[in-house]
This record gives sequence, C-alpha cells and structure tokens, in this order.
Amino acid sequence: MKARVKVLFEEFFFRPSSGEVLSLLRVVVGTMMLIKGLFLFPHLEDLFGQYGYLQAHLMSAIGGENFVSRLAKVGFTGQKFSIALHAFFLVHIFAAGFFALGYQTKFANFVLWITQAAFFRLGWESVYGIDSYCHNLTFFMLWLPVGSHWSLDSRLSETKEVALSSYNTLGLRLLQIYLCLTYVDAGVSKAKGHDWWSEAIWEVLHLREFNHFSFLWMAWVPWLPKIMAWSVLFFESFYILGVWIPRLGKYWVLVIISMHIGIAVTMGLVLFGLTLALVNATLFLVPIRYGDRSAPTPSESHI
Amino acid sequence: MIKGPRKKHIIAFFIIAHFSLIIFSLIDPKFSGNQGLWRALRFYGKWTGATASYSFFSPEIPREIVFSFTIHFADGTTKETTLQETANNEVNARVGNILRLFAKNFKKKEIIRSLAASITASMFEAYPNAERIEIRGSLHKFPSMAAYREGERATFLPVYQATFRRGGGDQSP
Repeated sequence: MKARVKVLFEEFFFRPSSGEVLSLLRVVVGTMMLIKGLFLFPHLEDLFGQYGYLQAHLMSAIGGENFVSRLAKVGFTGQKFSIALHAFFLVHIFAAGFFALGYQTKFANFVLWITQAAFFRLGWESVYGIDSYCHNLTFFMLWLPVGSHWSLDSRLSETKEVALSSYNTLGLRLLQIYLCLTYVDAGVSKAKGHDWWSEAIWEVLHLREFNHFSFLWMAWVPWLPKIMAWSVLFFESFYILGVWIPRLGKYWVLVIISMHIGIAVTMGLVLFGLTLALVNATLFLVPIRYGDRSAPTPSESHI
Repeated sequence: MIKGPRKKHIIAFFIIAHFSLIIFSLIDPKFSGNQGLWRALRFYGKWTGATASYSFFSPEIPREIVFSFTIHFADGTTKETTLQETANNEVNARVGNILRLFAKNFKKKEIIRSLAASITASMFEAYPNAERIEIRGSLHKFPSMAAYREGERATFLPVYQATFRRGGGDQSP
C-alpha cells in the first residue's frame, strides 16, 4: 500500500513532461498583463498618483505608510513623481510584452513580478483580484522553465531539442494546486455569510457598478439566482477535489470557466473573467487534451 | 530530472513553506502576530503574493455608495458627472474599490470628509476651469426579490453632500 502511494505520488508530481503547458501559461499571463497595463496607463495618476483619487497622506492614514507617502516625505513629489510613475509603469508594460513573447524570459519575468508586487505597495485600494492572481502566477513562473516553447528565446537558442523533465510536471502541479486553493478560499469565505445562501446573485447583478444588463426578470424566477449562488459555493469550494475526479474533472473545469465568462459578460469585468477562464483552461483543459505530450491529466492521476 | 538529494530537499522545503503560508493566510487573513517572525512572514507574503486573499464579494455583498458631482464653472455653466464616466471597465473596477472605502466608513464623518475632499481634489485636477464642485454620496438600497415583486424599487439614501471651492475648503452640511 505504502509503495503504491509512493508510485502514485511520483507519477502525479514527477512524471517527466514537455513543459508546453507552462509556456502556454506564460503567453496567456504575459498577454493579459500587457492588456491590463495598456488599459491602466492613461489613468495612472488617478489610481496611483500622489494627488489621485486617494491622496498620499490619506492612503497612509487609512492603510499605513506606502511607497507613495514615503516618497512624498523625502521630497519626491509633483512632476518628478509623475515621470517616475509613468516610467515605472512603462517598464512593467514592456516586461509583460517581452514575457509574452518569451524574449529574455527570466529577466522579463523577474521585472514583471517585482513591478506587479510594487503596485500593491503603491496603492492597495487601486488593485483587485486580477492583480493578486498575476502577482502570484508571475512569482511561481519565476522558478519554472516557462520559456522553453513558443518563445523567441527558444528560437534564438542553438539547442532546439527540449527534453522531457519532471520539473515541468512539478511546476504544473504546484500551479494547479495554487489555483484550486484560491477557489477554496473564494467558496468557503462566501459560504460563511448569509447572502450567498439567499440572494447574492440578485444583489451582485444589481450593484450599479456591475449592472450592464437588466436582470429584474429574476425576481419572478427566484429559484434561479439561488441555484446559481449555491452552485458557485459548491463548485468553488470543492474545485480542489472535483477537478481530479476521472471523466468528471474536465466538466468541473468547464463550469468554472463558464462562471468566469459569465462574470466577464454580465458584470463587465472582462479582463478578470477572461484571464481566469484562460488560466483555468491552460492549467487543466490543455493537459487533458494533450496529456500524452505534457503532464498526466487530472483524470489519469488517480488522486 | 531534479538531481541531487540536497537540491531536492531544499526545493521541497521552500515549496512546503510557501504553500503553508498560502494556506495559513487563507485560514487567518488578518495574519495578526506581531513578533519578528510574523513580520518577516508578512513581508515575504506581501512581496510574493502568498498572503493574498481571494474572498471576493464575501462573506456578504458589500453596500454600495454612489457618487455624483456637479461641476460649476466660472462662466456659470455646470456639468453633471461621475468618477467612472470617462474610465474603461478595468479602471472602473479599481474605482469601485476606492468607493467601497466610503461604504465601509460611512458612519465615520472625518474619514468620509477626507475621502470626499481627496476625490473632489482629483476632479479639480480634471476640470482646471471649475470654480466649485458639489459632491453627493447616496447609499444604493436595492430591494429583495420578494419586495421587488410587490412593487418596491431601488432607493438612494443621501449620506453625504458637500461643496468644495477651489483653494477654499468645503461647505459640508
């Protein structure tokens, strides 16, 4: 029994694979971070500036000292700060582009991660879910061979042959487990409240901030938003188990992807919804489809 | 293959430590220890993202405060606007975060006044010809499904109103 478990463990984490999934994830994350950066660039002053929506002194009063207030204290203000902020963000955008293309991949990955982390220090109220995912994913990828396929680095390299490696599989598993943990947190934290057991979907869809279509008709089919809310609780909280169930796993992933596409379409959180849908598809569906060349599929792993 | 038992052990240690931190911070998001080790872990977590939270819209759906502005120009004309009017969806999601600070603090007058002044200052930046700006915040109360079926509709409960003059301060009620 012990030997069998050891074999399964080795198979799950260390069966050599090609690393194509990791490279595809690099393309996805790099591209989405590039788009995010381009959307934010014209609004940097408002979101992260010393005299933006939340001024530096107010940010430090509410959330403690941050980069902006520290820089202000040493006289780094006004035009100087503005130029530095824009230059810093341009570095971030270029790093995202280089990372997506796989050019100087490791260096681009490092710059992308450190600049993304710095945005949390610049303005904690101006970041949201997508930033947390990008931050974590770029940190994980820093340690993984994400530039071995579909990259300028691999094209320019003299060694064209990419060997199978257990390191690729281990990396993929860690990314999959990380993603599953985020859904456990999302699901369990919702389940602790009252709203998600009753009218959360109705309430969210009618927050003015996210209200792009009329969902008033739901008042006459009250069971529908309730079932939707319970489904969110169930599929998120148990994603970490469901995704590994043979044959059923890919449908579980498809439900989660549908939820993200739903968020993108109905709530207008297009970049967030699309990024998470693509990340889930890359980490779980691509290995199922191309399981023989990349990592063992969730349904093959017997976990 | 990952070669060498020592290298394997070091990698395994970091993986286990990193994931333990992720799991621990999901269980205790406040991560509230104050000694050196906790501070070091918080620092590591902040820079690596390990202590991030994914509890979106939970445990309850947040209250929503809606803000609108009336810009008064020197020539006597006015303009009605909101913070989100000219921004794209990606920026609006972040502006929403900022506005939720009002909802969290709407009973704390000093914080609300500072937040309102800060946001209005950014409107003065956006409209250099503005002489004074009126800001209004209302709590958006949306009825339950049952109440909606019985005819109740969304209401806006005023929670804050002030007029700020360029270089002059405010006239809060």
